[in-house]
Amino acid sequence: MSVILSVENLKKYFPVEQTFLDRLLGRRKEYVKAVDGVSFEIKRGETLALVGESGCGKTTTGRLVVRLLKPTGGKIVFDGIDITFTKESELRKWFRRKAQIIFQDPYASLNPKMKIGEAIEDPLLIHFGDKLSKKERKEEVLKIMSKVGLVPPEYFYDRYPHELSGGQRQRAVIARALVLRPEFIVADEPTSSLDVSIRAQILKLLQTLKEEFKLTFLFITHDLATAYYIADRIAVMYLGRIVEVGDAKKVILNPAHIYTRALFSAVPLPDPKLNRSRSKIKIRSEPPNPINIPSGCRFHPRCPYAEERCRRQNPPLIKIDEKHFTACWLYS
Amino acid sequence: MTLLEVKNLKVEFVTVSGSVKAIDGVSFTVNRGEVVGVVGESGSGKTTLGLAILKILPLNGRIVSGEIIFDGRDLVKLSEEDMTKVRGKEISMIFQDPMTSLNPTMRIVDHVAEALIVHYRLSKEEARSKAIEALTAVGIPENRVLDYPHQLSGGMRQRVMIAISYALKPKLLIADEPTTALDVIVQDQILDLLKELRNRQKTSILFITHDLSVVADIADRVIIMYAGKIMEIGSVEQIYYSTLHPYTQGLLKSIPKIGSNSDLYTIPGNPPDMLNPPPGCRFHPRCPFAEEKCRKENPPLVEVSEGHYVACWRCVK
Repeated sequence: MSVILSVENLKKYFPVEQTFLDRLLGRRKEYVKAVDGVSFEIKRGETLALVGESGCGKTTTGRLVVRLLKPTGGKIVFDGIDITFTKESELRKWFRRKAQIIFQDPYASLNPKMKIGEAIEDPLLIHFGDKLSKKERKEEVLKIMSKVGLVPPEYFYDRYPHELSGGQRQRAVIARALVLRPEFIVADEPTSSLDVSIRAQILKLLQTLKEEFKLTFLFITHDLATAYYIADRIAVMYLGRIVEVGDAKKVILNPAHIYTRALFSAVPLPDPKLNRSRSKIKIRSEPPNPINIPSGCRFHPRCPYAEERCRRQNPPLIKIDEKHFTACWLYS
Repeated sequence: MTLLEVKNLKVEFVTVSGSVKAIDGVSFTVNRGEVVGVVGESGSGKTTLGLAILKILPLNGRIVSGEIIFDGRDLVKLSEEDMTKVRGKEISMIFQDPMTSLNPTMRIVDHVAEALIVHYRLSKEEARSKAIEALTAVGIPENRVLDYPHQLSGGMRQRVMIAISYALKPKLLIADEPTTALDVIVQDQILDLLKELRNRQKTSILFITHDLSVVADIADRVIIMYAGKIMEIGSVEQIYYSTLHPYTQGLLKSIPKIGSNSDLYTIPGNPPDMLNPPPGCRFHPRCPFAEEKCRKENPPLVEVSEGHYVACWRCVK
């Protein structure tokens, strides 16, 4: 399988807004290091899940790889072409058609004044303009609408976003992302705002579409069980870095990094007996401020196994086996 | 021993498009020191239930009929003046977003102290020292008690809300999605804190959530709600291991499970439009077992084994 996306030492620093007083006193400009040296590859047809808590940089990473944000440093290579600092006008020529993104809140992603059908048609208009006739465009839209389960498509074509349920709206957003027949999709928490009974519908739909359209996914989620269900591989992020990456089964069933193990311990399971009987790694504190990142391993202040070395040196990704890596000195 | 008994409660909202029966004949009990989980999706009436018990419904909502017997008194009949004494001191409530419950111009210690002054008429000094005691008990370091709410993380803010309950020692705590906005590790910490509150002060907790996993962790008994009605009530074991209602079964089968390779089940369709709820059993349009009778008649909630109640025609003999 060929690599579709490769990311190397990717960085994104957001400047912290300074007050007038800060500037007057000549205080040094501070940065939130949202993504701070992330590297990974995604093979064609694969789903990589990016898992982590809020503030770990998973959403920023997702926006960087589809170039909705400009990286501070590092390298993004898509389909063999370096797109790290490519201009928007150039990206629009080919990349914007091949890579799409779906967000958590489908209502915020749809223009309330635009009919669902028009919203889905919009990308076709932008990228093909007059090359497709009005009739051809509408045919294409209706086709994609039935693929995502908005049936009958003729009915949904003329609806407005407020007339749809949450699940139907997310289907519309998926249709809009698919209408250009992209190869790569970033799905940022696509099921988190939906009702439990609707989540499974959308997850299964994404699986089916992946097969049918031969898609590659970067699936961003905070939910380990969803990641386990949907992903081939999982990368766990903590404070702007990947701390563990590997086969979904290995990462979830045999987590190596203490953070991954703590995260897994904290996830409640839909099984009362298992929940109350399993042993847990408990972390007392909360994540540190991403402006003042701890020295050495970023997790060391919260890690029950931290040693002297962890405080000084940042661990690289260490190979545990063929398909499983972790950034923890315990495995060196 | 029963602390709260809700009998045939009906709550209605008046909207421009018509009236909505948000809660339509709900009955259940909460015992002393018990954690009861209320599980439902949006529109199930679970949040309205919490608001109705405290009689803090929005202006367009009202209790149509039913009784809410709390500690021997019917709250429905209680005057607003007497209700004020119940709220906070006897029944307190925490919400998903603690920021909306905290005053941004008040130091956190004063939030707790004020509640103590109002309900227990303590002096300012006494209230402050008790407040600091409560805040440290829920895990807020003493050097943070003079902070303002915006200086705290979401988890810390929720701890402040729990500290108020801790200090006032209510008999019942209504917790409406208290951990939904939090990350899993912080969620786990808050759940531990609520369990501690129950163990130490024998506080009963009505835990309202959409998350079946959280309920499996914290609850003794579970109430499953759908479209304003109760579908199933039982102990956690009964609900998770001897599931009877097709809706509960569907929910449990539709959540991804760590370590399981079985395919996800999907409940077809969407939650009902509460302006026009379906006739008969509210779940019938999405139920794989629906028959003629389900489309016409609403099934009663019947006890099928000790403490296990189900509203499904398949369980009525």
